[in-house]
Amino acid sequence: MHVDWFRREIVFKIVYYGPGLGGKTTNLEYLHAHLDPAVRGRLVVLKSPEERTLYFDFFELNLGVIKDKKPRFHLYTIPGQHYYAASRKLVLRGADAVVFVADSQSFRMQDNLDALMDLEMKLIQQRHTLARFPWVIQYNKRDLPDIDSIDTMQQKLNFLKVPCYQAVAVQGVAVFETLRGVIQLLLTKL
Amino acid sequence: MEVQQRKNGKRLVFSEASYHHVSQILEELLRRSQAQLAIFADMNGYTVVSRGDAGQIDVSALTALAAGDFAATAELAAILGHDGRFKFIYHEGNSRNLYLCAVSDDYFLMVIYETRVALGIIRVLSHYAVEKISAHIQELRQEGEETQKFLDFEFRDLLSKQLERSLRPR
Repeated sequence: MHVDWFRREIVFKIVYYGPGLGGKTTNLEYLHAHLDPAVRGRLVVLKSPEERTLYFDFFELNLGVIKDKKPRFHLYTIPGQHYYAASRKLVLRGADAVVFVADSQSFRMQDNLDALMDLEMKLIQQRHTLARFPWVIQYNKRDLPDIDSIDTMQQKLNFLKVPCYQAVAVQGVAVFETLRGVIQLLLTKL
Repeated sequence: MEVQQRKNGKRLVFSEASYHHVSQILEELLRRSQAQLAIFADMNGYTVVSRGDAGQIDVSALTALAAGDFAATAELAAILGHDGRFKFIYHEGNSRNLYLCAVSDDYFLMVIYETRVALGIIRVLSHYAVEKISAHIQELRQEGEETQKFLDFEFRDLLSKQLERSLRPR
């Protein structure tokens, strides 16, 4: 969080975390495409030639003036592939809240677990832990065949009982709901 | 009025005097170098002070990318066996150049200038600016109370309602 008393601005950093190809960039792209242009900044997408997120994706959400103050939200994704660990560490640095985007397909469960463990390790390096950090889970790709049941995913991933959302990010299902949810959760933790 | 930064879970504060002092340092840098824009930012990607002509430049996106630039080159440095990150990063364009220099582990200075301006001038004047800013960073102190004043209940309540209105698909 960054508070600028001079310009009356407060900036929060929200990070979309999760396994590679889970739909993090899709979430950001959908949000950017469907938000009022007046409240969103430029969408920065840093992709490799294979269309995979290289460093991060980013855009700023600007909610105007509220009570003489200007709240803004910086939305980031991280690169999910295991070999971009350094980039993930950077993007997570200073994060105020996290959306963990899990891939619902059964064969991706181990990738989800690995990414969640990776998130916890990086939070611990920043003197945080999932148990005390504002985060939500988005179960993405609910429209695909061969997916785990919500009960199974809750049991394996949501052991801390954080808010969860069933999404189809590519169609926009629960994309806005997830973002509203994580920010509202963040506001209750301030 | 204060500018606050969070470092390792602790909030750090720039006094108003320091904020103005950094602004003056950047303005002096711009005046002497004829550069277009100078930004003092933190490695988390937040702009702390920006001075000069931003024009159509999205300063928030620029700062986020520059922070990423530092992180990427820190990994390059590590692979090459350096301890810590590179001190300077330089990007040369057709009409404008970009010069980045680390102020500390947590902050950096970014200068954007036209190609007619010599790199040497930018390097020397940025070095002076970094020295001056570094002295003021030492004045950061731990703080928490001011943030609570900023984030009072009424503000959080209004923000919550605004989110419900604004975060809807068009």
